[in-house]
Amino acid sequence: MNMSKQQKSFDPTAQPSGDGEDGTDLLVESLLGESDLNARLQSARALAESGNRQAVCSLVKAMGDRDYIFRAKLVKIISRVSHPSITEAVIAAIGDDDPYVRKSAIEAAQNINSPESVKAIARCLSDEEINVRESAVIALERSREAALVVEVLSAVLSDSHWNVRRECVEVLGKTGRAEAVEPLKRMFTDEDSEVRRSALLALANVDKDGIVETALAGLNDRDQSVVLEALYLLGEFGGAQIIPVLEERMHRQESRAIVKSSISQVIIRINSRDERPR
Amino acid sequence: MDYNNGIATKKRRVVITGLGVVSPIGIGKQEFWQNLLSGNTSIDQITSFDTREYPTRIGGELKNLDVKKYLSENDTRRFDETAQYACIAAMLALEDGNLSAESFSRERIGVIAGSSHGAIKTLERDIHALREIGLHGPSPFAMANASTNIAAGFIALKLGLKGPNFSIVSACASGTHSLGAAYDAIALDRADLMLAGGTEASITPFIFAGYSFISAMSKRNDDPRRACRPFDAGRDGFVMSEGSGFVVLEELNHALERGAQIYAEFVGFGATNDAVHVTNISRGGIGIRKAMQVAIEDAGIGLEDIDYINAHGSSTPLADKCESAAIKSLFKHHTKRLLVNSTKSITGHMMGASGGVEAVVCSMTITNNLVHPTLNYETPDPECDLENISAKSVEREIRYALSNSIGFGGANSSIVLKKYSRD
Repeated sequence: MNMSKQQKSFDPTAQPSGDGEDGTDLLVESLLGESDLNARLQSARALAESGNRQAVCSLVKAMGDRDYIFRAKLVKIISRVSHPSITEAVIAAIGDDDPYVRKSAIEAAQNINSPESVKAIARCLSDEEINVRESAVIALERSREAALVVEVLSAVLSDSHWNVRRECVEVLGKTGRAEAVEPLKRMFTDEDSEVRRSALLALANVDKDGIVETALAGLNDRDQSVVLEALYLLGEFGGAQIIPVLEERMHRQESRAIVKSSISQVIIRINSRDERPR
Repeated sequence: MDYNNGIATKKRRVVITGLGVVSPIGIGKQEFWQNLLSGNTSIDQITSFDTREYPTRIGGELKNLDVKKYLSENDTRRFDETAQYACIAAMLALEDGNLSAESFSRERIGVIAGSSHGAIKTLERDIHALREIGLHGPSPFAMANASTNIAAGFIALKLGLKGPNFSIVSACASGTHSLGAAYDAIALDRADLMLAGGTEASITPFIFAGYSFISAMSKRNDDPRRACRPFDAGRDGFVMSEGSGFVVLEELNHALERGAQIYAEFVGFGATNDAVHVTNISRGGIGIRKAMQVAIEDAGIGLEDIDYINAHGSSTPLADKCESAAIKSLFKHHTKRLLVNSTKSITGHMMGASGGVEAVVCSMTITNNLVHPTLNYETPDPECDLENISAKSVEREIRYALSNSIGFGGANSSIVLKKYSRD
């Protein structure tokens, strides 16, 4: 498509004028033949809005366009149309040759949320492009198949990119599933501080009983971000019995002002909670 | 000097003693500050080029600056607007600080000027001239302007300053990075006085086309003064503006010896990168969160000490959401006490100049204990649930102010300013 450059300029906002009762013919002509990217996308939006059979057929056909930017934008436009052929085309685009299109298709497919779309997205967890893998993880957050999500994400916690691992950790935490506890605990030894910090927060969602012990371990992390997050969780879930540990941490030589003052705040929080009538 | 994880623990103290600003809402700190407090924006239709084909046709052009009042015709002919604005802002900062370069050793006075797009107006004109006319089309000063350090160089040339001099490019975080680098230069005894800030003059056809393509700018063309609405549910993108903001950073003892007015003490600087995406801020704003944390660590204070945040607050749907998440994630329960505003709501987004301008704002905020309004903040966005954003000025004692800047390329920078006290 986009093979024959049209001389005629097409205004997709214009009222239908004879070529087909509702103007679909003109829109299709523009979608498949216009040289200007924005004009074609405007036609695509109008066709998606109408959603009639001819529109659906032409939109699916247009997904075979040579221009990757057009395909990437089009897949998001068509994903708003509820039609089996469209769903099929969106899922097919997840396997597009171009990573920009794959990423866009993943984002579009998360609204479909069918077992087929989840499987197609899950296949992208091993994509060669980092951005595609990140998008796949984020898209799975909205899946209703929580058990499947835990299974597939637990398998990619060793991804080579820290942010893919971090996103995995966040999504696992949001599943609230007990099966996520052990994989998340293993992430405490991750080389990246943001992964370790996210693992702490995620565990607070899936393992409330064990979070105090986990957070106490986090107090010894070499990164201040992790220590601050551990302190927050201890303030939320800890009791008076952890105060001596906090005091010891506060008086360590390496403790900076930001950590010392946070410890003071946590102790105040715990004490005020314990003093409250039960 | 002692170091702890790369952070110097014995540093010379650095204070802010002069403020200079060139902006669409005012030239010089007084006019600028008054317009900020009254939320008097000047965002309007772009007039410097034909925007009819552009989805965004509004911005904050610098229409109120009489360049000839400050610079010679030869200067304005040779140097791009970005360098001109920077030089004028730097001169205004020196004047405000009651300083002349003669009162210091020139070798100990430096300049760091940040800019996102540099001398883009000149470059566009010259590239066009090359195509239209050929080899002799571009100006003889094309190469001087094509050097990204042109603003810092022009200031040094104009004022005879021989200390550390360079430019920092980190997109819209450039101004704040420049301040941080200047603070380090004085703290580490490489200079006694630094002129630092940011400058931008990038309302051009090319830049507008580029930002339009990624749908980053507001399309509220029919209502320009209400287009920039950081943290508001109805925000739809940033509104570009231009100008420059510079501050005088000075070693404390120098400032005390000459009886300078001290606006604030510069106590913390944090710089990080998202390392995730080239144009989008990371989910949850983890990079800017870390920059704030590092700046607070550098200041040697606790999270609860921060009273006020001058947010990056660019009015783009994603960045405001992520910055809000970052603030809440770092400050936790303390977020409720924080006053947060966005200067860009009134000035528009001055791109690489923002950090310099917003340092001027923080200095004035600390001095006057007044937090300017966030213009157009009408409908709170549940995804930006910061409690203390106000569409009106707020009077409150501000001891510590934190200023954030976020730029393309994953750049983040934060600085902490403190109300000056002798101890």
